[in-house]
Amino acid sequence: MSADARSAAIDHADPLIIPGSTHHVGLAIRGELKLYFADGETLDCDDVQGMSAVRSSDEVGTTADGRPTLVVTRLMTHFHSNVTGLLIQQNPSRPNLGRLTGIAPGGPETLLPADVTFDQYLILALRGRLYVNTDPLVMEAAGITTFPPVGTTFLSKGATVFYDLADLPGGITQRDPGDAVPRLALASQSVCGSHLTHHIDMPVMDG
Amino acid sequence: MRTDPREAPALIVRAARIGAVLVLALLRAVTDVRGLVAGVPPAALLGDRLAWACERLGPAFIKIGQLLSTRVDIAPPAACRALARLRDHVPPLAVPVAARALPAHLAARVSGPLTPVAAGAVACVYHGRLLDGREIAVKVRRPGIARLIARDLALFRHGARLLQRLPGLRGAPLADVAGQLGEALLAQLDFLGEARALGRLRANLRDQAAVRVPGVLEEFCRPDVLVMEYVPGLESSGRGPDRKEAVVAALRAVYHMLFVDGFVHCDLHPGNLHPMPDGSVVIVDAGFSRQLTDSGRRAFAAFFYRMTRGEGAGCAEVVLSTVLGGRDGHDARGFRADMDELVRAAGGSRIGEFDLVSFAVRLFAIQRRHGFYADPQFVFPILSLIVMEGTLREACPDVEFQTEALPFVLRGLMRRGEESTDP
Ligand SMILES: Nc1ncnc2c1ncn2[C@@H]1O[C@H](COP(=O)(O)OP(=O)(O)OP(=O)(O)O)[C@@H](O)[C@H]1O
Ligand SMILES: [Mg+2]
Repeated sequence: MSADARSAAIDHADPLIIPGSTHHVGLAIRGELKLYFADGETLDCDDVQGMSAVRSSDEVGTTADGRPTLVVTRLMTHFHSNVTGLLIQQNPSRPNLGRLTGIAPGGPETLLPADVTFDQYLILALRGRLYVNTDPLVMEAAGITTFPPVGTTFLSKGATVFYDLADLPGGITQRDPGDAVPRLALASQSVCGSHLTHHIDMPVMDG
Repeated sequence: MRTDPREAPALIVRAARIGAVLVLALLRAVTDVRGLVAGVPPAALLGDRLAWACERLGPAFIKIGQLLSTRVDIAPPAACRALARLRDHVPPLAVPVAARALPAHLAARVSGPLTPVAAGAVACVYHGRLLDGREIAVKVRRPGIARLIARDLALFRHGARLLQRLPGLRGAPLADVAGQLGEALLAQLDFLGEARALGRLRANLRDQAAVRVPGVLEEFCRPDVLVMEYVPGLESSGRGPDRKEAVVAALRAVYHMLFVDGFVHCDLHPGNLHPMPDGSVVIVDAGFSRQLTDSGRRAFAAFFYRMTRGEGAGCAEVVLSTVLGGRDGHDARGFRADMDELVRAAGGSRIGEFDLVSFAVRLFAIQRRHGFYADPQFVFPILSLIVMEGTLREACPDVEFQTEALPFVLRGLMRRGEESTDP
């Protein structure tokens, strides 16, 4: 396996860079989030920034209606907001899977333009408490034309509620909140990949 | 039905008149060849004729017709639309008669004469002024109306039970429906209940700056007299450039009621919801309000939360979690699939694109088909939104109703109140 940090010479919009290899890409992120609290307070976090990395699978599948589709795994989420002190990391105890699905039917060559969704399980640190979600925060972008999705805006589908980690006996690995009452909710107004931080291409050898 | 034997002849005459008018209405509906040829749906013709009959049969039937017009869970929507046009055309109670109804300690403190503001089949509203200068609105129940309505309601419920025995109607829950409508109507006759409801709404909505609920002067209220602070300008409400802003404020107030408080004003038709020229909104007439239990409120918030996430199967799970027994032999998987389809197909996120009535009608149909019924309390939040829908569509069709709801839905999920004792 060779890993080389690619230069701008590679056309990242070329869908053909995906099949036959496993990609690991990192993006610098800017975002705007809204947090809702139980007492009615709404906290706007307009200055969210950080890094995110995903790995895309080397296998392109086909949906029931003949469109190419590819599984992506989020490997790292690390955002913060200076103004509000919010820190967001990924919950490492469960996979954060996503899917990229071409809009037109066909093989790997029609992977773009594509619709993308990600299921995110996060750990929020805020005001001395830690919060986790048990329903995924689903982030979506429709009709992306480049991958990695630099310049693409993702939105959350609705909001997702978060529980205080102290209310979950099973900690970050607990799947079902049981009797716990949600303590806050997060909706993302927009999260946008601003530029690529790294791109590691790992071709899969035959035989 | 327990009756005084001396009243029997009057009751029989009244029953005969009710029967005759209803039969006539039915005949006119089924023989309306012109309407049928013109393609008017039979349910609309029937609703139209029922409205005609209610107007002829007096206050109890006018109110029942108005209540029924909101119940798309019971009656076909076309019939509901026809009934919704039902208005009570009655002159106000003469001022001296109204003045006689005031409790003595109020009458002694009123300066100058009352002036009529509005007149309905059950009550009339007057403007007055107290000696200390405060302006008041006095809602006076028409003398004798409570007895008349109680009598008609008893006949109405009796008739429903009889009809239910007819071969074609066996098994239809007519008596239940008649009972529910009657109960709602009787509750509206009790102005002390309405005073309490107004007081609660006012307290619950105190932080909503753009929403105003008139304060109640409790010390002067009686079962037949409701005394409130007078809010000027309601007669000419509804116009003005900030109408949209005002209606959005009303929508937020309703979301607060549904998701955060669980205390719901179920009758926010245009006569009870007044958009003011400054973009605020005044809510009156809390005679038909319901307190949801805390579990009912949270379940409704959870249902709405799943809907905003597009999770139909999650909505089904919420309904199933409120189902009390009776699951055996029913098809939970089919129920989940139908709910999933309903939520997926449920139109856009803007008010103008989402057809709440047809969503509700399909939701109730899915419940009937699979034998799973949500907590019966679910019906009140849905009704409350349906009654407002016309105003919303016309004033702010482009508002994202799910986004507007989100802060309230989320707060509702996060709040755990005490189990209420008076549902
Ligand atoms: N506090 C108030 N200040 C000024 N006007 C009022 C006030 N309360 C009511 N009104 C006026 O009187 C009208 C009727 O009041 P309300 O809706 O309470 O009675 P109603 O419609 O006769 O009752 P119901 O709907 O039960 O028949 C209102 O639409 C409003 O114009
Ligand atoms: Mg009214």
